Amino acid sequence: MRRGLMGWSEADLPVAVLRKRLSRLQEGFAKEGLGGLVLYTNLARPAAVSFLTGFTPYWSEGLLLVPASGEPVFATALSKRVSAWIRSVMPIGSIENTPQPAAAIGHKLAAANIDRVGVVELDLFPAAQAALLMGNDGAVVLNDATALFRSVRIRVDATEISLVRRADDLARHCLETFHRGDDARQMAADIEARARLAGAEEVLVGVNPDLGRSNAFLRSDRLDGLGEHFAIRLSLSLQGSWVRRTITLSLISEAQAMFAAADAAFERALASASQAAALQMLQNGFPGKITAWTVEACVGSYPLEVVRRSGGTQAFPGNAFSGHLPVSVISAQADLNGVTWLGAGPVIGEARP
Amino acid sequence: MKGPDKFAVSAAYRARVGDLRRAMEAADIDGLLLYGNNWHADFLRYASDFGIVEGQGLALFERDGTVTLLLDDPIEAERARAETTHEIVLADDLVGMAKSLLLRGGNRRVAAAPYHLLPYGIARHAEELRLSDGGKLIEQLLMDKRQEEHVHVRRAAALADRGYDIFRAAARPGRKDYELIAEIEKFFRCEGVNENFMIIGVGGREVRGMAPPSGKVLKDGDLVTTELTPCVDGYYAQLCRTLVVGQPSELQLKSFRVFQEALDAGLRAVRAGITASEVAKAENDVFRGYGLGQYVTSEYTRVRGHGVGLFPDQKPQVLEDVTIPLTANMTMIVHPNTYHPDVGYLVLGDTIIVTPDGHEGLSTMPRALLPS
Repeated sequence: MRRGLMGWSEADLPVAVLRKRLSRLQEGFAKEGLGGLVLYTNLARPAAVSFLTGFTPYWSEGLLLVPASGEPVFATALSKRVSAWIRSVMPIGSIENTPQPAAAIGHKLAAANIDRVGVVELDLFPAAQAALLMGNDGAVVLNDATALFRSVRIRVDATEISLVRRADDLARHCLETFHRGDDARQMAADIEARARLAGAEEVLVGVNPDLGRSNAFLRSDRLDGLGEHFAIRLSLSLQGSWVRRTITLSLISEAQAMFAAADAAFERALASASQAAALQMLQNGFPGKITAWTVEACVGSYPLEVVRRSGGTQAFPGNAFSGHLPVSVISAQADLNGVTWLGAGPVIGEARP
Repeated sequence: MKGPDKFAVSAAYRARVGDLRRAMEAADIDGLLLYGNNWHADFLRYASDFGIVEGQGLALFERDGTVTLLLDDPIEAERARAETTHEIVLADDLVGMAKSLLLRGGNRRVAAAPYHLLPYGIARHAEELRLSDGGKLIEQLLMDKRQEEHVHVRRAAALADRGYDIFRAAARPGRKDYELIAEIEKFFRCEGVNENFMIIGVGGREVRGMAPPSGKVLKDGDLVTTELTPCVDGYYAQLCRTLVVGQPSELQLKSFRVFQEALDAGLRAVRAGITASEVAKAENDVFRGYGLGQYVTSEYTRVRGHGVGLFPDQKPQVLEDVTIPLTANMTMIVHPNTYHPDVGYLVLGDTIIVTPDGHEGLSTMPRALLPS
């Protein structure tokens, strides 16, 4: 669940920005023949609703109905007693507390004589919600509107760029200042606490305790000792904007120098104007062989999802966009003279008007 | 069954696998498809013992106990390979790959759960995939507990008590609500606790419930409510307590006594064979006796307790209209949490194990309105 600081402020996420995002989305409805758009949210898939309203659920689930014009409606299974809290973190739209969010949205569609709505990531939509939305007689037709949403989502604005930069600054600060030692659990806990004390909304820390054994990042319950070379992966969010950072550390001084050179080259690549340019720099100007990489971005309901990865896989479905992503996270694995190095960090470009 | 490297398979998971296989045999089900994410991780965890953090997952549990785990996040897939012996599939297209897996299995009966959360892209092909709702098959198993599972719930309850001490020590005037949570989360991570369900309330009569921290600054006289729910090896235990920043007032103490009485009444009612409704009625009758009946309605409170296990808020929900019977070994929390018109929102609750004649309490934390 989310248990860090959850808040909204006009300075960080202006209502005018949210309204602009909504209107951009609504502009596409007519072309698609949609009377509205429905987006699902829970704490594993909060990003699409968060992008449009600023709201992330700490628990439970909900649906956002974006009508063809006017304010959105957020229907949630969170109880009515939580309404005041929702209002405090969601500055836009109306709120309906109901055990069956899709039924409530369905009633609104029926009242407005809407018989065709778009659903973002329709295949992943929860089955019960889909059934309720369509109604017993199948009165409402559900169209997959993932591509429509994505075409708006990837136009990252200056507000989001600013939040991502702040999230990244915090992530880097935590990874630069944590108390180093020989206990992986303690180190992970210290990093997490620093991020939470600084107001992170959510923090996930994974540790690969021994790069000589596996590529897996483990959670606290599986951690004890450390190998010669180990890596720490920190993912954190500020007001719905997520970044990841991975650092590789060594107890061997020779390797520390090698990792420092790799870190510097990686940072130079991350400073590129685009993820494509960053990947190019990693392939051509890295002090070692890049053996694997992924590019993650927020393009739908996942906070971050893999949109490209090495090995020729284009994981980004729908082919709605194949070029520049203004904000992305690159994770890379390299072989440095037989020693594994892992790194991750964001490439933050310019806002797309 | 042997885990990879140093990660031993727990006795609880072995017991769950046995129970699941027997239930599938009795229901003549060949395979069980379990969906999970970080919110509802319980069904997936029951069958795979993998605690999912990011993305979504589906586990196909075969009647012989073998598991194929589909995960749509590459880092999660890598972790699953390290933590389990299952076949792990990185599924860029979770729905498409799950459908292919089910179709490859041929002509057999597969049930899915929790069906309401199953991706629509799978559910709409239920007939073709010979898929039915497997909720009933596994929900009772999730509610009932084996003694092997109690080991983890007991440890979680003990950590909740220790965690509350950290929380209480951190609750000082001038501190922000999220700073308290940062301290307790650090403690839990150091103890190997990956997950913790936790909400908080800070203030007085204006506070109607608990929510995530919002940056509120603690001051003298504030009531600070919280429910701590640490998770050990997938199993949650919950502790609900209220503290006062500084010393409690007479009015706060008087109001709190209603909650102490209600918790006592609820716990006295608990035993195997009675219904969740009877526990709720015992708690609520105390409030009604003080003329506070309106504060036990949904306007002011959600539930009067609930099951705990692989989900922090599992069935049975303790409400007067829930007639699910309690069974021996079930683990649950009884908590008469609600709003009191004189002082604000108050919470008090303990995790217990239901026994044939009553219950075994798992918390040693005093059931008192504690000063910070």
